[in-house]
Formats: sequence, C-alpha cells, structure tokens
Amino acid sequence: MATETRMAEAAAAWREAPLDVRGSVPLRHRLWRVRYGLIGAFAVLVILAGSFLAPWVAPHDPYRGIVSQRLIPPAWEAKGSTLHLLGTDQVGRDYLSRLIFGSRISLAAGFLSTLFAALIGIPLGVTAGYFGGRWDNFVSFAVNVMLAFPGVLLALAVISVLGPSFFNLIVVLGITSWPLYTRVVRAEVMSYREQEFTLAARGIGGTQGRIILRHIFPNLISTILVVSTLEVAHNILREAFLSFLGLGVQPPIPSWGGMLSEGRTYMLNLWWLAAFPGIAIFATTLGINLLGDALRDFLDPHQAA
Amino acid sequence: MRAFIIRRIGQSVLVCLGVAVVTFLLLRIAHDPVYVLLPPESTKEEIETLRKAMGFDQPLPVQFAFFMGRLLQGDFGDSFVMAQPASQLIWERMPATLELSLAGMAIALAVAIPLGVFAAFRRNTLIDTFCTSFAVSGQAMPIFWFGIMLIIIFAVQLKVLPVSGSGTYLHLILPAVTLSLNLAPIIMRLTRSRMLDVLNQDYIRTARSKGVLERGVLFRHALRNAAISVVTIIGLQFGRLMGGAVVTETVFAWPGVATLVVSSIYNADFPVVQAATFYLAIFIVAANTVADIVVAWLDPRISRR
Repeated sequence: MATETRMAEAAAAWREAPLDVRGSVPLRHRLWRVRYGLIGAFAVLVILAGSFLAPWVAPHDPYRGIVSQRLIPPAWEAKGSTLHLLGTDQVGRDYLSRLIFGSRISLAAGFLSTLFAALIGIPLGVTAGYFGGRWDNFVSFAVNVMLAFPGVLLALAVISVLGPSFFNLIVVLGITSWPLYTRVVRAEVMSYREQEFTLAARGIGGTQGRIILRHIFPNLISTILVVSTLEVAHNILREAFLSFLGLGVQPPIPSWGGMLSEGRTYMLNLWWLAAFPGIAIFATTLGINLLGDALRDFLDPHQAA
Repeated sequence: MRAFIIRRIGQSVLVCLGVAVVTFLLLRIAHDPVYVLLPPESTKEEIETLRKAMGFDQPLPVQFAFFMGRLLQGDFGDSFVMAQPASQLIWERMPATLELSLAGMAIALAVAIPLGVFAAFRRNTLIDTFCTSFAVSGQAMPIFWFGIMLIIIFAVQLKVLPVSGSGTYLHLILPAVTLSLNLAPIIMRLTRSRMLDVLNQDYIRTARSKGVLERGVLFRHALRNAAISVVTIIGLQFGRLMGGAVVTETVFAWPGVATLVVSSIYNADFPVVQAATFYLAIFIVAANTVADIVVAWLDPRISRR
C-alpha cells in the first residue's frame, strides 16, 4: 500500500505542480498566464523555425573554421566585428551559426527521446491501470525500481556500455524516462476505470480493447500532451548534460552541451563561449515549459477554476 | 504502525532486488560485454580468458546467481584502473557526495519553503508572481550551466570563492547553491500549492472566524498541516537530489562518487560504474523508505490506509 500511497502522492504532486491550484482566479491573472503561454509558444516556434531553416538562416558555415579568425569576441565587445555577431570559437567557426545548427540536435533529441519514452510508458500505464492485479503489481514494481536510480546516472551508465552516438542517446534517454508516463497515466486510468462511461461501455458489450482505445484513451490525451511537452524540455536538459560530458553527439557536429563544454575551457577570460550555449538551452526549455504550463491550465479539467 | 513499517521495508527490499537485476543487466545490454570491458586492441586469448573469468560463457541465470552471490558480499570486482575493489572506491567517495547533497538540500529548503508559504499566503500578488517566476526559470535552467556561470561570476570575476575542488566551507558554497537550484523550484511550487490547499480548508475559516490572528492561522494552523505533504515531497526528491549531485560534482570537480563515475566511464572502468549505480540507487531506496515511515508517523491516517 505504501508504494501506492507514494505513487498516488507522486501523481498528485505532479498534478499540483501547476501555477495555480483552485479557487476563482481573477480574469486578469488568467490572461497573464495565457500571455506567458503565448510567449513560450512564440519562443518555441522561433527556435523550431531556426532549426528547420538553419542552412538559410545561419550567416556562416558552422563547420568551416578560419584559423586567422579564432576566438573573436561578440560584436558589442571592443574587438568584435559585425561579421560574426556572437564571435567565433577556438577554431574560428562562427558561433551564432553553430548555435543555430546546434538547436537541431537538442530539439531532435528532446522530441525523439520523449516519443520513445511515451511509446514504452503509455501502454504500460494504461494496461496496468485498467487491468490491475498482478500485471499492475509488476509494472508498478518496475516503475519503482527505475525511479530508484538517480536521474541522469542510469543514462550515463547505459551510454558507457552502448557507446556515444545520437541514436544511442535517444534510446538511453527514452528507456530511462518512461516511468513518468506510466506513473501518471496509470493513476489517471484507475480513476476512469469505475466511472459511468466505462461501466456503460462495458454494459453494452464493448470489448476491453475498444473500451481502452475509444473510451479511456481519449480522456488521457490532454494529460499525455502536457507531460510530453514538459518531458521534451527535461530531455533537452539531459541531452545537453550528456553532450557536455562528451557522451552525446560527437564533434564537430555542433550541439549546445558540447559547445558549453568546449567553451568552459576558456571561461577565465572569454566568458561568452560558455554563456551563449547555456542561454540557448535555457531559452528553449523555458519556452517549452511556459507552453506546457499554459497547456496544463487549459486542458486539465481539474484545473478549470 | 509496526505492520506498516514491516510491509514498507519488505517492499524496499524487493525494490533493492530489482535494482540489483537492472545493475546486472546493465553490462549485458551490450552485444558482447567482453568488448565493453577490454580495450579494442586486446588479443583473442585475452578476450577468451576474460570471458571465462567473468563467467560470460555461462547461461544468464547462472551468471545472475554468481553476480548476486558476490553482490551480497559487496563485491563488484576490482577497478581496472586503480587495482582496488570498486566498492571500496565508492565508499571512500561517498562522504563527499553526502556532504554536498545535504548542503544542497538544506539551502533548497531554506529558500523554497518560506518562498512557497509566502507566495501562497499572498496569492496573485506581485510577490507571488516573483516567486513563481523564480521557480519557473529555475526549472528551465541547465544546472551545470548555472554552476559554470557562478564560477565565472564569483570565482573568476569577483575572485571571492574558489573555482573548484573541496576542502574548506568556501569550496562548498558554489556547488551547494548549484545543487539547490535543482530542488528549490519544485519544492517551492509544491509547498505553495499545498499551502493553497490547506488555506482553503474549513478549519482555516473556523480559525479566522473565531478571531485567530493571521500570523497564528498561517503558522499554527496552516503550516503544520502543510508540513506533512512537504515532508512527503522532500522524501520523493532524493532521486532528483542525487541526480543533481552527479551533475554538480562534474562541474566543480567535487571529489564525490559522480566525478569518479564520469572518469570511470571515460576509462571504461565498468566495475566502478556498476558499483556506483547500485549503491546510489540503494541509498535512494533507503532514503525514500525512511521518508515514508516518517510521514506515516506524522500522519497516522496513512499507515491505516
């Protein structure tokens, strides 16, 4: 029971994390929140557009280094040039162009690993919540075991066995982050299992598969959407950390985590090399989180004040 | 209560067993674990000798029995690099990791709980907006980047704190603040929403209507009841805490378990990686169990559920 208490507690904690809880929220505050969500959506759109249109948007080739133009500071510094708005890195590559191309790795890793985790976690959560019994015990046990491993450490350990590559990165982030989906979805399915619409569907002779897919699953979509949005941001952070340690995509492919790690070498006098990639990561995850929080406020009926 | 404790500990033992299985499987997800363990230039004989020595030629269940037998003696094999038992290396590093974790947790609690309470109490005011913005930005921030920025500001530019390493309390400040950023936002948001929940309860209205001062309502009636949920939340954050410690240690070269794990990954020193993964997970299970029991002791309704 205690485990279930903890899981319910965790699910509740997840649910209660939104910006506001209950009671009537004045309209002007609701509008504010929508505004934050719109800002987030706008940021995400800009970054998405930047990564899709990278070859056209980036001012320079992100791979071409010019030795005579190494470590040029950003344009607003004394020795900066407007040719390289954010300066150049240690081998003379345009930093802005590398940041723009770097968004591709972060976004692709964030989206694909979240998709991967969802494909494992949702079916487990739905079946565990719906069928209960031994299967539920087993799934809950597996979730508890996975949650015992500290955050990124399991991902580190797995990638040390598989070896660093973009594909392995996605697999590793996916297989270490599915339990969140299972936990949230399972709790929600359990609350629907005995509700009238499920009982009615069962009463008119609906098969298990039909009840799950046609009656229960549609109710889960808003939760899944919100969890997925927040998980994309989370996975972008984890990808950046693995790349920072050199266990993600390998150079010379630009990735924000990798650039941050290279920039750290120069932090004693060239602070911007470490600062910019972090700002890029921060802006992306902040945008996605704001969007996710706004989505949760909108979609979650429990939140509708 | 005693039955609850026994049941809870029984579950934790099971989870520890699951952790052991995952740790065992870690090395076996590779196509052939021998190649993970040996440098690529090894000869055929070396490969075969190691395969025999590690028992990889045996069927999986036999291997697992062998693994469990050694694990119960705390034996993960010797480190390839340092010619010492892997377990011993981990235990030597554990105090530093715990020191950092506790300091980080302490800072997070000291910042997040007052902010959360205050934000709930002054809901939808400028203070609330400020606290919530702090939490939202904190959650989106890559903490390894935050750590590097702290180094640049306080160690490189202002020269008031050491860049990295350990030894004095001054060395502890930046890593602990970095680590607290991993926890403070979530603890603050959850404290806030729990406080809002509690402030909506009937007994709060009763207290107010019988003329209790607002200060008394807040501290004697509301905070005490919210405290139980907050303890539960803290209990749930140990995994996050250790994950954050992994990230923080690598940025500050803090001589804890995580720095050892990362260098072991670069050296393909797998026994150390395996031992660290196992011990940290066991530590988290133990911490969660203790937290659950403390919560049940604070709120007897839970153990009766």
